[in-house]
Amino acid sequence: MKANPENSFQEATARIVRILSLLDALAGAGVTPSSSRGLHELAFLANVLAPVFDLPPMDAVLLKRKSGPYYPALQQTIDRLVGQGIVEVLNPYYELDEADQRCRMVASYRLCREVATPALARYRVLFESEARFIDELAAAYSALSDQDQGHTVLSDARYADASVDDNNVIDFGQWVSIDKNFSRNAAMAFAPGYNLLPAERLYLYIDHLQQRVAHG
Amino acid sequence: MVYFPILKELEIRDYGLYPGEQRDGRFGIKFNAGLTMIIGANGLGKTTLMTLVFRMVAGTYDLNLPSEIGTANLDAQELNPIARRQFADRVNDGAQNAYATLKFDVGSVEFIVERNLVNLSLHSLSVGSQVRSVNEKAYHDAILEASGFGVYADWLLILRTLVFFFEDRRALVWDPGAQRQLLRCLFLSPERAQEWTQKERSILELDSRMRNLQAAVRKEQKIRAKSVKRLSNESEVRAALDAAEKSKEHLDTRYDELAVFVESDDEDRLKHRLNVMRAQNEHDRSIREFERARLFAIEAHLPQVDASMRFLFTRLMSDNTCLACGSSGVNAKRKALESAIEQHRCLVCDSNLPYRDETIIDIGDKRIAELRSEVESTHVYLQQQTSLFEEINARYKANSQEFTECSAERSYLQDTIRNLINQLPQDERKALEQQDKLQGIEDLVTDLRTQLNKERAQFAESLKSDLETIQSSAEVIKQQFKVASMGFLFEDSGLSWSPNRRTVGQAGGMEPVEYPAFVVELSGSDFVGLQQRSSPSQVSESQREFIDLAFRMALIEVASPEHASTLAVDAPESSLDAVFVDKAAQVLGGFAKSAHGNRLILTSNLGASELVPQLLMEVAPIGQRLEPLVDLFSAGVPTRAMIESKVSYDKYWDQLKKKVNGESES
Repeated sequence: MKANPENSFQEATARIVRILSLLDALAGAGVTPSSSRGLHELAFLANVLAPVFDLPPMDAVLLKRKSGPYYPALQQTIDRLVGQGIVEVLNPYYELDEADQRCRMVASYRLCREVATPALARYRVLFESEARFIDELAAAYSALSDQDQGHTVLSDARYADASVDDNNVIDFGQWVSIDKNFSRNAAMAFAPGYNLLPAERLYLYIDHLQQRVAHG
Repeated sequence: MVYFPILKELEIRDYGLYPGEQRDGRFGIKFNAGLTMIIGANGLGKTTLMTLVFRMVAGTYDLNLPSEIGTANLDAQELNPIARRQFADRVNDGAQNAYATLKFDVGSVEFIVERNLVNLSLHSLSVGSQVRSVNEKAYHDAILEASGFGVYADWLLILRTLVFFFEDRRALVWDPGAQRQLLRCLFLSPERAQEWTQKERSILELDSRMRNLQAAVRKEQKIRAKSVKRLSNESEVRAALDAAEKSKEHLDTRYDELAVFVESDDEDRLKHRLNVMRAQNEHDRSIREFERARLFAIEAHLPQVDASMRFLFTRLMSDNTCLACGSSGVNAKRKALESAIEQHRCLVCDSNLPYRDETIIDIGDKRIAELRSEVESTHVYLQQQTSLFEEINARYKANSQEFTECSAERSYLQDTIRNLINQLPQDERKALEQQDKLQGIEDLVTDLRTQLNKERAQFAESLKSDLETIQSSAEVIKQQFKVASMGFLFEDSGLSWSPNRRTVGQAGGMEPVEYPAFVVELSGSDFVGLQQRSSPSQVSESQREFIDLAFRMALIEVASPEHASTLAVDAPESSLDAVFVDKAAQVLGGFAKSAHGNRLILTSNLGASELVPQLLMEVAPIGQRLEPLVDLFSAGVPTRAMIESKVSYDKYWDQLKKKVNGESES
């Protein structure tokens, strides 16, 4: 949404790095190939939970959809990475997403290691704390069952907030105070009085999501 | 839970405008469950009759409703003597012996109200079969007890904005002030609803006091500057003070302007951010649809090729983008691929392929063309919306930046002015004394501003829980609205819960609070997907009327579920496009036929539109279709037009009767 070409370039690069790091971290946690739905869900969690690690979210805003988070720009970037041979797409097909009444691409993705590894190695040096956050998040996320992956965020404190209607903007930091990031608030509220590590908060929060999905 | 009035019976005696069918001065209407249709011609008193019914329920108090409703205006005010004589002034005898009696229920309590039509004063009052003292206060108390509203002004608000739909009706759904006040009194407990009003009012009073005082300070500053000028010698200090005063004055004006700009720009950029994100979503949807169609064809031609490669070809043929190198607009390559598929050649090496007994999607078909056109149009739309958003966001940033700078500069200048005054010679004691006094007022303004901030913060906090309470009904309101609006309109439509950020009061530089609000969303031939329509000018006149009516029906249904209500609409056909008639009749008929016993009261001119016969046919079986009619031609005083055009009016009557009774017109 920004006109400045320099910003656009930075954003595009950040998205590429984010996808590669998510796929890499998921693979490290044993989730490979990764489903498109799970990837968008994890991208959302990475945004809302980044402040737990004192990191800024990459996107503090998205359009709420009934069937869960979906970032059109992120999907475009994945497509592009597929075209460049950096990411491999497996079994792509399209299904009608009845909740949102639209066609949704369903596919699994994995990194083409020989192409992606040098870039990822550089990333891990330059953005060490971010890489650690993504690794921890993916590890916590991998504890979810295959069935729950891709369907958990519908119970997320920010995503499920009923004050934002479907097809409206969820903002958790772009133009509103960080107080509106209820997911981060929930993660920070665990074990009051105890000095938990940020990674522990991620595990507790993802576990909490799993409980909510399991028990409605 | 609140209860709306359910009208049952009206009797008017000895009022010149309605002598009655027997011409004995008695005119009555039974408001049975379902439809009551008051039919007349211009000048026969349809609107007067509707107003009279309203007045019988509202009594001698009313609200002063400006173009946008705010809390400060929501006081029940006694009608002035002229307004109280509104019915008396319409007849020769001043309605000296005229009375009207209205029987209606509120919840399970029956009211029988009798008023004289000279000045609308109560003549008798019975509540739940018990005779009550004849004064408006007793009537108000009984109404509040039966209806569940906390203050009489709220009762008047729902009568004026929800139950009665007069010709000068306000577009409720597009009036954020009216909306939030209605949501407040319909969905909060009477105590919470009152607390909201009191807190908001206190802030507005404080805000007004602070701004008045601030204006007074500015005026005094100017006077002081003049007196200092008289006393002091021409000096560098004098010149600097003069310049600083002028700059400060200019900055004060600019500061006030910018506060308004920043608030309205913020609202605008929120709306346009949403538009961009929706446009991105729609564009992505259209690309995926197109890809899907393409992938079928590619899979059929390249069954052995891996998924990534097939996807690459699919994308190239969908939006002319090469995912391998990132180039866009590769039209020639796309056409070559299309041709290869059509001619059954390999997409990679162009060799002829053996015939395969499979159904291959014909990529040249109409659907493909539609999908391609959709991809292009959503792309254009996305670009337009992005550019609009960028423009508005840039404006917001510039104004916001200037506002911050202006604020800092004002403080700096204020200090400079004080310093300069302190440098003036001692014999300017008078000016200095004045300065001391002024300083006292300035301190008071600062205190008031602090108090205002504190009260605003407390109000914002209490509003959060009110917002949640109201929001718990939002889903049902949206569903009810959708049912009604889809019945009325051809377009896709819906309500979206979209809390409205607004600063309470006019003093700038304060954090806005979030008020409950819905916005209307509608599809349209020139738009991609559902679009927010934030003002009535963004829809047609027919749509406007019925969207608003749908909103009222939804609020009535949800605020008082399982209970009957009255909806009284004056001239609903006034802006009705002929093609809407069937739909309008069905939805209005549905309200009238509700199992709860709703009352739908409409007025209409004879022959004005097809709505009258359609609605009569909708609500009653053949043979009983004329029963809902209240015929002002026979019960009212004939106008000159009626006398001179009797033949024409008789013809319209005849046509109406034949039509509703299913007889063909000859």
